[in-house]
Amino acid sequence: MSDPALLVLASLAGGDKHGYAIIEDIRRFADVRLGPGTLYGAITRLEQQGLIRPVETSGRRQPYRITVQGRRHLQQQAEVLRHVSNTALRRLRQV
Amino acid sequence: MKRLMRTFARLYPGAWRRRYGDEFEALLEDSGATWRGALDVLRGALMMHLNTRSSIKIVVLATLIGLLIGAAASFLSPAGYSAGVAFLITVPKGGNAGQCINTLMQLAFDKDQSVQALRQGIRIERRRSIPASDSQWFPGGTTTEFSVEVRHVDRLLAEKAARTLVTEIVEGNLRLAERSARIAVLQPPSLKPARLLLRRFLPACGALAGFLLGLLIAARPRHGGQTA
Repeated sequence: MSDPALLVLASLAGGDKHGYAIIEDIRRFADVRLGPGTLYGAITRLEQQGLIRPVETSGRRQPYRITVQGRRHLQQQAEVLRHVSNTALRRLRQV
Repeated sequence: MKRLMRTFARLYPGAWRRRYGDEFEALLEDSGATWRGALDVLRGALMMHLNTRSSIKIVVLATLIGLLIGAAASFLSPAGYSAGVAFLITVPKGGNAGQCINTLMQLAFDKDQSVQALRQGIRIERRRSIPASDSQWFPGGTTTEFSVEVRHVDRLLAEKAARTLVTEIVEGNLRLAERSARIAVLQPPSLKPARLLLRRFLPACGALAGFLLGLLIAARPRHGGQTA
């Protein structure tokens, strides 16, 4: 799974985070290091689609939160991935 | 490196920077400063422009960038000149026309140091081979058309080398005649060097390539309405 938008959604599903915290979280759970430009490209798209939203903050580090629509979308995508993964593993066992 | 990353961050579209600029700067402060990170910011700025600009602007921008790159390449590449001659070599059955041309070239190289110096810029091309029409002298022989092109940045040197080659070919005709080969220079040989067309047309080629690339980019689906 290397789609930056999906990785960001998966990270925010665990709680609100700002940019650097998202990068570190993704590095830990997916072993993928997103660059700043890639991360904010994904954040921009996700916010435009209403899948995440900014959380009020006083500092410059802006946290984001996954929306209900975002959770639903992540759920669908995760199920597709699980199906693909299960199919691949089953077929590998058959060989 | 941080400075470079901040410079690249200023390349994002104005509207985007008004919305995300502060938090993006904060992220750049937290992130490590690496070349990879800087290139990622630059790439992000480019992608953001592509996703927010209209198709016409993308095509115009890409054409202008292509034109500029082509003009720069044209300016930086040395002026080149090309002079050439084409000729036919007829050899009897079993003869080797390629060997004849190599012999002639070697004679020209040995004769004139300036031609020797241009050796790298001389291109020999075998165009076509047909059965020899003179069946009385060359029964079962073949006639092969060769072109020899001299390329060099010095116009006079290219011209001199081409003339020397033609002279050698004509003289070589006599030598090779003893070995039952015949050479005919195709008229008229283009001995006057012409500026290489590629350099002159580089800006136009760049603009055309940019235009086509712009069309391709403009035609690709945008991220705005897609799901993650």
